[in-house]
Amino acid sequence: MQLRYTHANDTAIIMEYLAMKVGEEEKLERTEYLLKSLAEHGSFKDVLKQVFKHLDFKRLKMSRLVSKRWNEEACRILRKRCIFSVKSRSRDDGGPAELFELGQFTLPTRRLLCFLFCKHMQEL
Amino acid sequence: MPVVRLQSVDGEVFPVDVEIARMSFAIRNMLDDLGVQDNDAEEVIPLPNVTGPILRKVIEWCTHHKDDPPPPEEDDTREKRTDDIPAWDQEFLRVDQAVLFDIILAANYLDIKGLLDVTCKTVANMIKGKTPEEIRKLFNIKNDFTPAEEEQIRKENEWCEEK
Repeated sequence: MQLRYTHANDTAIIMEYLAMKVGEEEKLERTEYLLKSLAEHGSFKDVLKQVFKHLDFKRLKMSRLVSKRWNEEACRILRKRCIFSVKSRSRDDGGPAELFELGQFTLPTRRLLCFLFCKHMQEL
Repeated sequence: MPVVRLQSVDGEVFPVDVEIARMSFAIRNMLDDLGVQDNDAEEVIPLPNVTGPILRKVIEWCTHHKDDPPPPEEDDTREKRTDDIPAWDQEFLRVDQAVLFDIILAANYLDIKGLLDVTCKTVANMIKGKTPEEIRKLFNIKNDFTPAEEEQIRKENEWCEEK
């Protein structure tokens, strides 16, 4: 059986597929398919979200590197957890301001607080 | 004790105590919507995406946990513990990875919070201590990043430190 799906409608397709009576051989295929889907696809976003709720900051950051789908979901959770959400801002003097272009998810680290304090003092 | 009959996708029918079946919010809503009364014991509820063996596992878990207090409210701003899986559940979830995922999907579909929680904790524990490459291998995931995208995330991660 050819299994095709897109992110938007894979729930519907899975439902349709599972509603059919399946034989032993197809069950194995089905399990493999679900396994693959769980790991990669959209209707399992909920499941990934639930799993990620149990991961700490460090693990979430690392999970971003697994795949685009994982990155997307990990970022969603990170955004909820982080205290500073540093927005991108263009600067021409380079240097530590690079932070503003890179740091999407930042907890208040000593390094960041120092940096922000220095910037503040400079601007006074 | 009143009973409802749950039917798996492969046609197996499981008679289950209503109180236990109602641990699933999906089934609870179905029963409420249908206005099923206690004496409608012949009512069969079809569950189009749970197989017999998985439904049996789910019912087993619910039966064991039927007297649990309701789970506490969630706090999305911090991670949930994963070191508090009860010994019975650990033993219960000592299954093939494919079966574990099927249970997660069933718990998600049936909306059984406690079961979803404990199965996701188990998967979270599988992820802990693994590199992205090891995780991909474990779950059969394709790395769909370009080297540049991967590098960008690495850079971002460098700046994100834990307090």
